[in-house]
Amino acid sequence: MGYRTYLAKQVIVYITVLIAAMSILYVFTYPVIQTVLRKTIQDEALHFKQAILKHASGHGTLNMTKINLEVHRYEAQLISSYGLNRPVYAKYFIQMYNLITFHFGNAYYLTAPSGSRKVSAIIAAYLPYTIILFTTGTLIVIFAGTIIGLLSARYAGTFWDKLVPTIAVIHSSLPTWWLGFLFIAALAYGIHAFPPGGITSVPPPKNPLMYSASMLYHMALPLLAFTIVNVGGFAYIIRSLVISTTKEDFVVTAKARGLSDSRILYRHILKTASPAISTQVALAIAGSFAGGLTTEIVFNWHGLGWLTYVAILSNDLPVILGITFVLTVILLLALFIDELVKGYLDPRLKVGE
Amino acid sequence: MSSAETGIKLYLNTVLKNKSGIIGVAMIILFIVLSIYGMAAYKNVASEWNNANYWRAYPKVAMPAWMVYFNPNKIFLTKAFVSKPKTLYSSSSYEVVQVDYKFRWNKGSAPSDVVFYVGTSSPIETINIVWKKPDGAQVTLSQSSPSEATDLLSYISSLDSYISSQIGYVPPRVVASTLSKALFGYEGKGLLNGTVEKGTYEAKITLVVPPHTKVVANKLYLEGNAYGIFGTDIYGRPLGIGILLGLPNALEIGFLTSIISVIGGVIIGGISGYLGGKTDSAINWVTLVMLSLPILPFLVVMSYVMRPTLLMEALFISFLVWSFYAIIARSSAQSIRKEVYVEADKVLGIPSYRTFFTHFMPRLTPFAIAYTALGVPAGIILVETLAFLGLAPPGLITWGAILNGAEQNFAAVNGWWWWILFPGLMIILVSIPFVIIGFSIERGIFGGR
Repeated sequence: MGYRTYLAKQVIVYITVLIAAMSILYVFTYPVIQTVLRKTIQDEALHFKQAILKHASGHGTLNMTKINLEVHRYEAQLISSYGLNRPVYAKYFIQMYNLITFHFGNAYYLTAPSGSRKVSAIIAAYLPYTIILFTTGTLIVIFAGTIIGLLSARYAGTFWDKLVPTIAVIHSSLPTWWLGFLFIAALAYGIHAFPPGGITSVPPPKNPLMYSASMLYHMALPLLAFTIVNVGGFAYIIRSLVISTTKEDFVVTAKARGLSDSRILYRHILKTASPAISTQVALAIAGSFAGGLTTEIVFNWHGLGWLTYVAILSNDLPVILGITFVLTVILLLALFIDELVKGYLDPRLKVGE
Repeated sequence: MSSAETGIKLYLNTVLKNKSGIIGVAMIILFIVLSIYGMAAYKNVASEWNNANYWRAYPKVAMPAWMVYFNPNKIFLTKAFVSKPKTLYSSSSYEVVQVDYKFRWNKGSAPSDVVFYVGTSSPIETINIVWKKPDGAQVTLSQSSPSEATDLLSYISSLDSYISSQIGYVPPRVVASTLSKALFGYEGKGLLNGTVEKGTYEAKITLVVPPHTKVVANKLYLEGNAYGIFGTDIYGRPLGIGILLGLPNALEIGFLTSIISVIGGVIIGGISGYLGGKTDSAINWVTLVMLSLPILPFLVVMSYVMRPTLLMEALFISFLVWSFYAIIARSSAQSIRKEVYVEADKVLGIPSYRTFFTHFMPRLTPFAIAYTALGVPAGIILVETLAFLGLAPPGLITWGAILNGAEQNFAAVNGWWWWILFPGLMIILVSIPFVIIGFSIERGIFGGR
């Protein structure tokens, strides 16, 4: 199996996973989706009617019967396009199609900064901030976790080694959002070392350089909370992977050849363990996803996690459903990219074993 | 997997042999005892938790009581005074009763609120309070048909006009502590600047009541700014009670989710690894699907749509997390499959379900126990996170919901650190013993390092 075959197989697997995930969500929310769609249709019909009235009043002729007839026709058209009058299986396919083409209907109350009430527009406005925060956080965790894990594996029995189980305990018992909350109270409002929340300072700096600097400054605390919570678990896994690889025969051979410790660690052990490490990266991403999202709430970071909270508070169901779909796609993309990296790192796949 | 014997005794030994394991077990026992105590001692309180009236006489956002030792001049507990009621006038249509309080105030700041409590056998018609400061200045508060306990906010109209007569305007955001400053400050422009008149205060409460009314009980509360071990929240609810009552809920949901998901995951993963072939790849695909679901957003949708009870919530979480355990169980089962004794069973024609229960399940148990322990905090954190988002199972007291209250009432901005610190610390404290035990079993059985 070469890298291409591997790639093709992964693409198929992930597409089926996406469809299955959507079906599960659909089963759980079936009755609610029907209400959401019905409300969206009523909403659009009302808009349509107002548009006609506006247009007609300009021309001086107002035939209410005719207008109502038009509106009813428009409504019927919408109902059939959303598939509300169709049997369940047809509804399912229409709903899947709507999801995959990002047609989530209209929000009940929330609007996008551009004024649009389309759920897809609202989500598109907030999505980039989630991606920025979560990607940066995950990369920091992977790098810092690998370094700490390697150090503790290399200096087994010393301070570094004892540090890792301790921080692994922290990892399994600390909610990210609470740590963030505490940081805000202590570091932002207590000693005023960091901004308490938001994405940039208000008003946002015009200069792009200053803008990114301000954004980084605002990202510091959420990233700190995210890293502290997640780095321990990852370092612990790296440590056990490296230690178990160290027991392999080829490492003993390398030692017998008189190679230096660091060369063995980086060229032999780490290279061999890297596919397994990237598998663990996938699990770590899936595991830290929830924490990353809730951190946005306490830091008032206007991403999807924060939007979820606002949607819950304002009872905006279509937005909650849309976000869940988008987040599923994002998580799957992250796992898929990780799969590609794993395939690239695994020499067995390259030679087509 | 080591070649050690399997059995419950072994795990107990592994846990009890090392110090941290014993600490973990002791902590869990302590938590269970505390939960039982909390459920028994505060049974009625639990149902009144969301009833704001119930907590009226408690000081609002008070610091933990032990803070008094650090700054006894500015931080103090609630003081209560009782007095003897006198009947001034009585006729066939009404009676006038007076309750007179005299007290010394020598603290550096005003109480957070003043509550007048008069319990009478029939409803009070009007209440009139003359408040005399040490320098002789007087404030009059009055209200008709008051409730038994009246705090300063119930006299806001009298007090607002008093404040504006002194400083010329009414501040934009008036809370109970602002009104209390007005009752304890020097008259003039600096009424609300926080300086406090020290000396003897007098409060004359005159009640107009129907004839033959008895004053059953009376009390004057000068609300402190410190209360209980963990302080109170903005409604005056003692956080200590909230934390204690949140404990059984957290433990229950942690245990439930962990046990259901680990048992489910180990059986599914074990069967998958044991059978191999097409069944294995089918189950593996299902596991992959479940693993790639974003747990929190799915839980948010499910809890939002269905508002589940505690048991349903546990089932939802288990449904979303069993795949983690299935993957690990599957790889263990695959390695057991290659062992000679499994081959021997096959040759002897022993039915496969028996092989599974005699050879696979016992070897999978240690791992299941380790992950059950590790799964408890994972379940607790998920539920507290949901509660923090405002999606706790209805009618339950959870630490996440307490923290949600802190977030919504800007506890961080206002410096109410106790409201943030203690509920969150409890989440960690409850998780730690399970994590310790889980890791120690994992290390002991899998050979750890």
